[in-house]
Amino acid sequence: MANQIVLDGIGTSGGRKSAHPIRQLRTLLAPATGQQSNALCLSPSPVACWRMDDVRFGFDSSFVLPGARAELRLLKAVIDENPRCPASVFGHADPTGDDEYNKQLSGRRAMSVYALVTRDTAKWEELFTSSFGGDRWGAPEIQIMLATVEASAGGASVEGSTTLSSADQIQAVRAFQRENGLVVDGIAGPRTREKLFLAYMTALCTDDTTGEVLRLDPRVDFLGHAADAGGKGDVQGCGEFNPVLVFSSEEAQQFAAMQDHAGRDDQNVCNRRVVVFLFPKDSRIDPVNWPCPRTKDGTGACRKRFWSDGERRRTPAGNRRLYERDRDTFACRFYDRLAMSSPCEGAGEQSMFIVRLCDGEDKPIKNARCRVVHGQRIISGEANENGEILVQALREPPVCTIEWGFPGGPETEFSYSVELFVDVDTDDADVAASRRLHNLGYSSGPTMSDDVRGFQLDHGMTETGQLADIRAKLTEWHDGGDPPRGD
Amino acid sequence: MTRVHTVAQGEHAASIAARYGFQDYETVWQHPENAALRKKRDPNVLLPGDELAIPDSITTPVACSSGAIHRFVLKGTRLLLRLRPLDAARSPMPRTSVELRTNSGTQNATTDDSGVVEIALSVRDREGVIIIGDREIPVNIGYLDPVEEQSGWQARLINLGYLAPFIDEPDPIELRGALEEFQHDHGLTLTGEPDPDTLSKVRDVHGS
Repeated sequence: MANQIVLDGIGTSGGRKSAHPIRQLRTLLAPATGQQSNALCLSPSPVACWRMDDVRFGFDSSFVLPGARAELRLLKAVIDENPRCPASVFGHADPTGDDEYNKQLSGRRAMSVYALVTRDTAKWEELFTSSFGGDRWGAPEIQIMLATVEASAGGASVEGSTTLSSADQIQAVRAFQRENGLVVDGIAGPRTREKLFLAYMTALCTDDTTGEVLRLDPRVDFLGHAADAGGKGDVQGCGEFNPVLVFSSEEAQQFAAMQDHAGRDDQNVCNRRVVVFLFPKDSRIDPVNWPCPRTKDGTGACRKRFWSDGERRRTPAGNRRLYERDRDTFACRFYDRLAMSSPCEGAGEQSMFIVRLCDGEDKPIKNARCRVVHGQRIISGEANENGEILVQALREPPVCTIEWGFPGGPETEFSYSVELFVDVDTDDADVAASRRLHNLGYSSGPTMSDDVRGFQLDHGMTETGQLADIRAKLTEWHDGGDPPRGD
Repeated sequence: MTRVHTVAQGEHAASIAARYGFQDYETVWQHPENAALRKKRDPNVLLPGDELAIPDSITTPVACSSGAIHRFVLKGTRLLLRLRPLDAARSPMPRTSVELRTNSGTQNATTDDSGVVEIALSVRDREGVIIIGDREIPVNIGYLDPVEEQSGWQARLINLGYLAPFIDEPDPIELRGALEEFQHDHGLTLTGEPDPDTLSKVRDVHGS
């Protein structure tokens, strides 16, 4: 198994993170001899994304479960990979229930995540004390938090037992209160909760292997920079307006007829998610102009941003539709533009290929140190015993640079480097073939014809020097065969 | 007698006039043979293929006495790059530093209270980089096509932040989304199409 170098997307059981493809193109402007002027918007397109799935929340709840640790590690990673790129949090609900209900619910989930990473215990207290429909925080949540905090502190873990006897519960609260300088009365009141929330948030945001902690500053790390008290620009709920999956009309009818909603809820799970987008470095927006309403507001402002056929998009009709394939399931135009190239929402084509790193004599370098540069992303890694690495990247930009050297050398010095095409498929068959030829290591000849001959010689073919003659073989070798060599 | 110059991409009236030795682009632009072109075009937003009539250079003899110093004032075109940077929510950015780097050199300026900045240009400036904060934006000056052309309204929608830049072919869904969003923001009917009212508004809002 080649050692993975994942440049752009990585997933866990409860979510994923990814970079967005970067489209760096020239802006076209008109000079002025009179009154001409040019608007120049500092691209509001996200540069990276993160998603946390429903499984990390309690059922129908905004409470974040301990398993979210894994996804919070991913969030820290994507933020570290994109320094000074501010975030905005979007919560989504499935279509069960009415629009207003779902807007509030998705908003509560988004706010819960926002508060978690900024350590805003007051916002969690608000979620705790004002329940909403099925979203009710209570004794079970207190228990989970106590158990998690205790386990993090190295105490005995009570994992797996979510129903402690009330006597044991009180004991657990007392123990926590004792350890945290609180009045020891066995009741998890507001003061106890405040400290418990903080301890739990910290536990979830701490990587227990590296000790690194994820903590964001509301005034610096979010797009609206906390300029708005209600979080406009920083955190919002999209309700059910942007599903990634829309049932077929048949499925919708069948589910509606069933008494037990478990099947429908299961199928709908992918729609219940929280997405964070990271925006270009140092972006800021004036909340006044941000189209999304606050988490506590109603759906009015959302509807203003609907596609003219927004209702059709999010409503079952005909076949089942998926955002990643059909691209027409989101009702909100604004969100659609943000998510358009987001691998977290199913967009973006990736390439995966194995590269065998060799020395000057074409011998694989065991555990070679290497570094892959793709656009603005740089990842260091190590090859496996066969000198192989598995590179996974989005297809834009189309070229990446791989540098490698012998293990144990200085960190930034590499003996060898090569440029590889990450995107070998273009409409032009000749270009596609020449890219594959290059990737396979045949690009040092003075002309293309020499490179083709080199390939033909190595593969026992007649040396014609014609690219067309080797196209099929190239695809076979490149896409399925020997990993490319480097020298 | 006039020559005809066929406009190539990246050319504008002042740059073309300069090529033929005219310091003041109006000498070329106001020529009677360009009347039809003037009706439909902004001198700074020409379309490749447009034909511009170039008058013969005018030699105006001036009698001067030798041994004395004479002043000649050269009336040239004052060429500027006027920019209105917008943030991610499309709000203006007053009192913000803007840097322009071209082959001619680097210039720094600051947007005024309404968020507009003017930077002097030479007719030779075509490619450059605009730097605002940490953001580097490669720019092509004089490459903006008329708004009636697809390339023209697309470029303006990109500049206005309604459309993400694309590499080969724009995604029709994205185009429609950009148009609808623009129409919504400016009180136009949501057609998702580049109709005349929409295009006219795009030009007005973009500024060129």
